[in-house]
Amino acid sequence: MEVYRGIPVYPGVVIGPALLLDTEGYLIPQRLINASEVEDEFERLRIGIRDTAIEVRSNQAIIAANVGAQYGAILGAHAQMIEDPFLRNEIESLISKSYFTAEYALSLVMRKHIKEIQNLPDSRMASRATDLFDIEKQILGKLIGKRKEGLNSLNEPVVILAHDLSPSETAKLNTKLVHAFATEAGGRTSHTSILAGALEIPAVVGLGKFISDVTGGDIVIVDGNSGLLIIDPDAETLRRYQKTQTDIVSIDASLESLRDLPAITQDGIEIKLFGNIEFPHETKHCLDKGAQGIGLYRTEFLFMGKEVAPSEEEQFEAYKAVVQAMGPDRPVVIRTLDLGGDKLAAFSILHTPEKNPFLGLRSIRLCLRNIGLFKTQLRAILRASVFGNIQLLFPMISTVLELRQAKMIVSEVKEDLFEENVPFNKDIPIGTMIEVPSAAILSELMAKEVSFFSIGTNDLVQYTLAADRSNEDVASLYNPGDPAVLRLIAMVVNAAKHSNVALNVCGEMSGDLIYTMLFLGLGIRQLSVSPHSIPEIKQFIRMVNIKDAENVAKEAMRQETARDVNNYLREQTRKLLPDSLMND
Amino acid sequence: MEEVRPELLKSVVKIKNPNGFHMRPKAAFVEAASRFSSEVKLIWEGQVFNGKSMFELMLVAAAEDSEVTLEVFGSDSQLALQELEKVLAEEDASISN
Repeated sequence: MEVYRGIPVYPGVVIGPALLLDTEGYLIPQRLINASEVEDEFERLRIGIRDTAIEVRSNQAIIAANVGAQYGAILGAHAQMIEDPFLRNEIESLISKSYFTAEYALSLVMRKHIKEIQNLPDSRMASRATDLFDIEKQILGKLIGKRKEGLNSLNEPVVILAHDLSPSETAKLNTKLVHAFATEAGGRTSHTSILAGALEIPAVVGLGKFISDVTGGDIVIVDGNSGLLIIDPDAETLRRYQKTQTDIVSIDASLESLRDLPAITQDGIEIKLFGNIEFPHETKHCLDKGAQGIGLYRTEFLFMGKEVAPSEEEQFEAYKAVVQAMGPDRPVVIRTLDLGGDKLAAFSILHTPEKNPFLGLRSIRLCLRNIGLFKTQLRAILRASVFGNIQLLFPMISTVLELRQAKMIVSEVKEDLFEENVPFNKDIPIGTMIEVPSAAILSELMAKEVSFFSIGTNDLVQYTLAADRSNEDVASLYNPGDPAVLRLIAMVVNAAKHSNVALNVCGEMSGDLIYTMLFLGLGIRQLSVSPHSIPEIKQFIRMVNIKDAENVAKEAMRQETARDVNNYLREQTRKLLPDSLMND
Repeated sequence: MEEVRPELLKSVVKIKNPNGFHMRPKAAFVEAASRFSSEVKLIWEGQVFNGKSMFELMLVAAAEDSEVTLEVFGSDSQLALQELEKVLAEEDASISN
């Protein structure tokens, strides 16, 4: 039995057989094909090789033009290896003799060549093995990308174990059969983790190296409550976890009964609980858990992994589906594109690598530079606005001018739609994220421009403390309980109150129970959280008294370090909450 | 029609590139070799490699000042050999990295 500790991203316990995705993220099917399928495999191989070569050659042209022909030539050499007819013959003969799939045959042949090259006495030549790994990965990507075999041809429930999962891989997981996942890499706020929440399957990330200790088919336990991965559990552990599974079912049942009750404090103050979503189908989770609206609809997923930006129609359909599912009474806050250029395939070729992507051209900044892209999204949102209660939210605003620019573009789009006689809600509420410290400091001025604020705690913490949480050397600085973060939040609350601007808090902090009393005590009356957290937070809010929460907030604001703040808040939360529901 | 008789031609070439016979000259070599119908072999340290396969040439670790032997056999062997010698010389001339 081996136990690994990581970061829990979605609660729950799953016991099941492991399915390993190899370190490149590809599951190489080792099954055999039928004799009648040999020709089909040849054809798949031919197309996979052709498409990879086309892609590599076009990258070669771009690099040659931008950086210099000699650099492009490296990719030219790659293309030649990919198109090497002898390579293809070798793979084909394995397919026809041993009835391997194209992927498996390719992988075997490539590994053989890689070994040969690694064994060369000349170390510079031997280092060329990296190029071969890269080529293998690219062809596999084309082959598997076309026929997501393995993940799609699962026929029994499994637990996925991988070094890392890309957001698009995660999104494609079939949750009927993939009951949990655990990865070596990743942090709680990575997109993969957010998607795990969206899929509602237990997940643990950031476990460190464990892949080499596990074989496909091993029984593993993913404990999404404590962030543990247990490989090959002993009988006692297995029994304990089987009991936990039954307990969780009964706790869920008791929370279920809260669904239609309001999130109202002991002294009668109603708190609005909204859900955060990434995909249209998550509206169902929100409604199931009793969300009063969508506080944050992240639109990035529509754009990720696409060769071209999604069309206005495609976006319109997605936004419309969400707002219609939520009905006319529940607000849906749609946040415009919040990505860096590096994350957008449609731009990645033109994108100049940045030294500091998190301080670079991303999010609203990228949109203000790509007005066409921005306007398309705004048109889609505005058109969808007639189908319900849509509100528009700009991410990563750092100056008043930026906010004004963004609003001006909304006005232009409205004019266009008006002239075209396309219906839209002309009074659509516009809000701004407060997630850059400058925006929090200027919240008094920002308030004049908008009808609501949404505090994005993840980025606010990161930018306030200048610490990247996924960098383990500085991760401890990233702490939502830091007094600096608390002071900024208090400033924003006051500015919103004075200017009569609505205020929402989203991000991971809003779903963490230890901060709930602080938020209520500061005067925050709306939280937007992952749908799965709603029942738990609601149960807690129903135990809280606002007067007590105000005292807790005052005391928390007096603390001088993040550790003191968190210890104090944890202690206060424990007083009200049965231990069994507290996540540390 | 004039009949061209296949002919086996050999030539010994010295690698002058300080980086040896590295990826780029190999790529240029394979590309040139593939344009001809003749068989192209490259012999290095007693081992024979197919001159039209980038994968095989990856295993050639010929350093600066070492020698490789070209063997070309086929109806266009004369032209092919000339061209391949030229490619190797040019690649040596355009030393950059």
